[in-house]
Amino acid sequence: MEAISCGTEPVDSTSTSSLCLSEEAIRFDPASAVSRVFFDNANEQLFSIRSGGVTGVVVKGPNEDRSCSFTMDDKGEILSVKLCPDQSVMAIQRSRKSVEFMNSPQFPEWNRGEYSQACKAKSASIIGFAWTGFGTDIIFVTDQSVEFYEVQPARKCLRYIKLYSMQVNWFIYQPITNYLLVSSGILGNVLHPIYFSGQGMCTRHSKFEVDLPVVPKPPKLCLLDRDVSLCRIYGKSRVVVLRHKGNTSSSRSGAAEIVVYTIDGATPPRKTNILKLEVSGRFAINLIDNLIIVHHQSSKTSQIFDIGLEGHQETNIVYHSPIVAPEVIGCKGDFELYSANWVVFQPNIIIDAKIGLLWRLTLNPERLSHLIRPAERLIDFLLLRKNCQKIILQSMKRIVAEETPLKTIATIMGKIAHIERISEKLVSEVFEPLSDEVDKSYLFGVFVEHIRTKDTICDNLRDAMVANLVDQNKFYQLHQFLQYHILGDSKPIACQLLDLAPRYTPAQQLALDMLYRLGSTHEETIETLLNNGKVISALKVVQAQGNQDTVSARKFLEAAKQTNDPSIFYSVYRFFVQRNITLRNSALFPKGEMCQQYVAHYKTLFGDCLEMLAAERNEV
Amino acid sequence: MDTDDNEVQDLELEPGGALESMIIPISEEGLLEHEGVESPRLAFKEGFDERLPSTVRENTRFCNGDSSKESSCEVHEEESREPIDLTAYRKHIFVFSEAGKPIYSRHGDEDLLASTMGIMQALSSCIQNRNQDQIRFMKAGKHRFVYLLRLPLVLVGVSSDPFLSFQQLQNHLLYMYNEIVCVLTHTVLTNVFEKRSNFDLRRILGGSEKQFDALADRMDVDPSFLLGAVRCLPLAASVRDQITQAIVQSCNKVKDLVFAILVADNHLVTMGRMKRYQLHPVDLHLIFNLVQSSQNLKDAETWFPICLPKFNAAAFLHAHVSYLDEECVSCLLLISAQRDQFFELQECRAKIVERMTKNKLFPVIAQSVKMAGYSARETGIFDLRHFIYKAKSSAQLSSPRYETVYLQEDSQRRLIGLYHLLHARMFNSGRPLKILYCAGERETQLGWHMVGFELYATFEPLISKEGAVKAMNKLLYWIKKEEDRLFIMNSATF
Repeated sequence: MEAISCGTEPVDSTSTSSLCLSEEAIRFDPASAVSRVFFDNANEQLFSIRSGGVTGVVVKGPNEDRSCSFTMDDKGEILSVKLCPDQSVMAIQRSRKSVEFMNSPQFPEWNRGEYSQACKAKSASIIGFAWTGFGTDIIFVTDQSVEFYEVQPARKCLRYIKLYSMQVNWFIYQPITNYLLVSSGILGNVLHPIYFSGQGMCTRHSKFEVDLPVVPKPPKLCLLDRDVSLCRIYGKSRVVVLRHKGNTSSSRSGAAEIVVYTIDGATPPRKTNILKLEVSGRFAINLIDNLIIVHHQSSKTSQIFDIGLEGHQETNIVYHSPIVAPEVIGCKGDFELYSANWVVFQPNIIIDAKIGLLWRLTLNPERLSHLIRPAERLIDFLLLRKNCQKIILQSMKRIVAEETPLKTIATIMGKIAHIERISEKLVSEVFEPLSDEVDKSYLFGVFVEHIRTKDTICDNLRDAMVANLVDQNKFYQLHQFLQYHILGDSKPIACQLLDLAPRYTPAQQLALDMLYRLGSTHEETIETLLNNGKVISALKVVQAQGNQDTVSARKFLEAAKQTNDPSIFYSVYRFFVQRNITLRNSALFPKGEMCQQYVAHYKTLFGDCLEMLAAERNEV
Repeated sequence: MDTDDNEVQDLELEPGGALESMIIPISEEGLLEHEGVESPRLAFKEGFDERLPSTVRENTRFCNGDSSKESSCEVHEEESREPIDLTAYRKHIFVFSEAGKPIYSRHGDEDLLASTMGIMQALSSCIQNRNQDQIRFMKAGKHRFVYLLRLPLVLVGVSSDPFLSFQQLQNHLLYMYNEIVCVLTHTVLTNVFEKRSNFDLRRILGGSEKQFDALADRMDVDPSFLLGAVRCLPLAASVRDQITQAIVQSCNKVKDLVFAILVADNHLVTMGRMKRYQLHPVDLHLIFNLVQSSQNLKDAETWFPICLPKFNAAAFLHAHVSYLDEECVSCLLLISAQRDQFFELQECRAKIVERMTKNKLFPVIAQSVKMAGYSARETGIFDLRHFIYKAKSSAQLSSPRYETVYLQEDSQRRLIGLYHLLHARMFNSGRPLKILYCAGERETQLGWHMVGFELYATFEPLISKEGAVKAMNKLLYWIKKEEDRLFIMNSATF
């Protein structure tokens, strides 16, 4: 069993197309005289049945649990085969009158054996069957009714639950939506949604009519199951109908369109979106990450639609154009793309029945992010995708690097504000890498647009903003931002402000105020000031605290010496000499203070000595 | 020789103050009060001008070979004629005529700056014509522009020095204007432009640029210009008396001798004057600048006309200038109203030299100059680094030498800048201050404006406010105690 990659994950970003066939494909024996192939869309299982099952039935599913192989007796031509969701029972339709069941040998508590169930109406003919997805519930759809049963494998029989009588042309069942869609009427355009809400439970929702572009005369079936898909887009069940316009009308342009009906249990199904295809011909539809992908065979291109994006609205119907120009599916390997042998299943399965390969279609949002314009639309698009944060940030980097007008930036910042820890991510992924590339005052504008959308400013954003203002020498602006607490306090910023003091005098006071607000003790403030070479300021704090008689002279003299500024050393030295005189009536430092080296340093700087100071003092 | 009553002095005068000063005390507003161009203050009042020889014929004066200033022409010619980067300098002074003709530029070649000065003149005349007003100040970024209109001259000062206020820069321009008057007299200045409005004044100013440059630069580093007061050489009172006596006694008999001034290293040593006449600090500063910037005065005794603009801007006096000692420390200026007194004054000078040599006074002066004054430590105030004291009534100032942390030239400039800032803040016309305490990162400064004096002191940054105030009082006692040494307390007359 080959692994299958999940369609919503971004693929290799070097890929040249935004749509790609998965590298991993499931290979199977193509249909032939001796071999039949069935695909069960509900379980995504592929059945290869050779010689009616005698020489083997190979089941390939998306994982190991759903893959198996076995043999069975050939009891005639098989019309359809499907395993129930837990793989315990296999249903095989060989006639239009009944469906046969086989208990799986993997469930030994049930007897291996076969049993069958005929449809209730004797004159009816079974069009098909489907497991509902709840337990072993199954539905038979005949041309006269929809019959609902529960398979009881232990008892090898079926329990009848419900029957809806109606004329049926065809049906679609999509377990993801839990809707069975049944077509009736001569034209086939009356659709009955039946909703399965749990084991043994179903409700019939109001029917609706799909409007047809042209009604043929005489009337005949013209809405076919191949043109209708059931899917779940943006959390709602949708009926997607391909409307070929030009096929029957020669006077009008033949461009086809796709009509999206939204079924929402509470209100009747209604037409909500129309996708403009602008071309006509054979189409197939895939669905990836809420995007509708429409493959067009004759042009060998695919159009991508997103009904979540804003479109042109008219009487409650939103008209959409493709989000980017038609794309060509990319593929590793030499396969014929858009082949006539392709069969396309929901959500993203493409099967080439002739060569025996099953691919999944993958989407590369990274590449799409380079194509979608304008920036606001791109962000809207990416926000609707799964796992696209990284791409959002990459796109933001590009948008900011292009110096997109701040008005646009403001809109975008509003859109992405809800992303968890967005500020931190923007700083590390966007602002920091760009800090040297983009005009700094523009970048600051971007910062402001971002903080406008947030209640609090995270630490690294604040640091980036401070760094930006400092780089620009916009000290007054920085002052305002700090004074009004738009940018919060932090010790590193206080230290940075201390460094700014020579260039912008008020920075020192801002720093001290900040340290005070941060609840630093005097000792901490003194340490911070000392570490920043502000020895004089540190001593002023000491004085304010009234500790000037007890602090370590050595510590301050060393810090003063470290500044390499003789005038600072001079002031600090004289401060402590003064202290010596006040405390001991001698200019000399006591031995215990270990200040000899600073006495020597003072002598080298100013050629003065303590004795002289003492003498001077005595004079006084 | 006048001597003030000691008791009166003690009661009413500030330290270093004088009842009748030889120098004219000027008011707090600085020099602008005296801007009037024809302001030979006392001279007119006393009718002195009538006794002065009538105005010297302008065209003969500068052709005289005896002018000691001629040789400095060559220095100017050597300067490069390349255009200069004006922004590279912290201060500029431009002088041009009302017609926009360049006269002087502190930096660069005037001819190459002709268009710049043209624009400056255009700005000025534009405002004058349209608004009937005068352009005074401009601010462009960190550059301050100050205009001073002294028609027929326009002076413009430009400074990027954050410490220099508009008013202080304007003060520099006033000094510069007076310097030009000092060379030409106001009479000559107006006459040449009346005759021809596009006259190129450089033709008759030739050789004085060096003097102008020296003045422009000196004003940045010497606070005496800022305070409008004169710096005296600290000397023991007895020594100074001996010197004064030597000069006054030698000059007693000379008729029309107005001032006898002894200068050493930009300091006033002593001064004798004719009764009733005082010297304005501006005139003294110009004399100091002349001595300082003219090296060739050291070569020989010289005799040249000089205009003291505050004394009498209309006419020339005549100066006999010579160095008295071999080392060229003490420079004597004998300024007379007579134009043909050279030999009489030469004799006079010889007598002074003889008296001073006999009393061994030259080595004392040289010693004081060598010591560059006194140390702030002599005050015994531990935290005091430097101060500037100005006695208002005597228009004299005193300050200790630059020491320890102010030994480097850049730190000296910074300190002077801080004094300028302090001065500007205290004299802010919108909010004048009597006391200003500024605690800075590197020093704490305190400025006091009291009835008789201005005192600006620089302390250790860690001094407390109370400590600084105490120190100020202590400093005042010290100055009072030392006033005989720091100031010229006795005003000598012939």
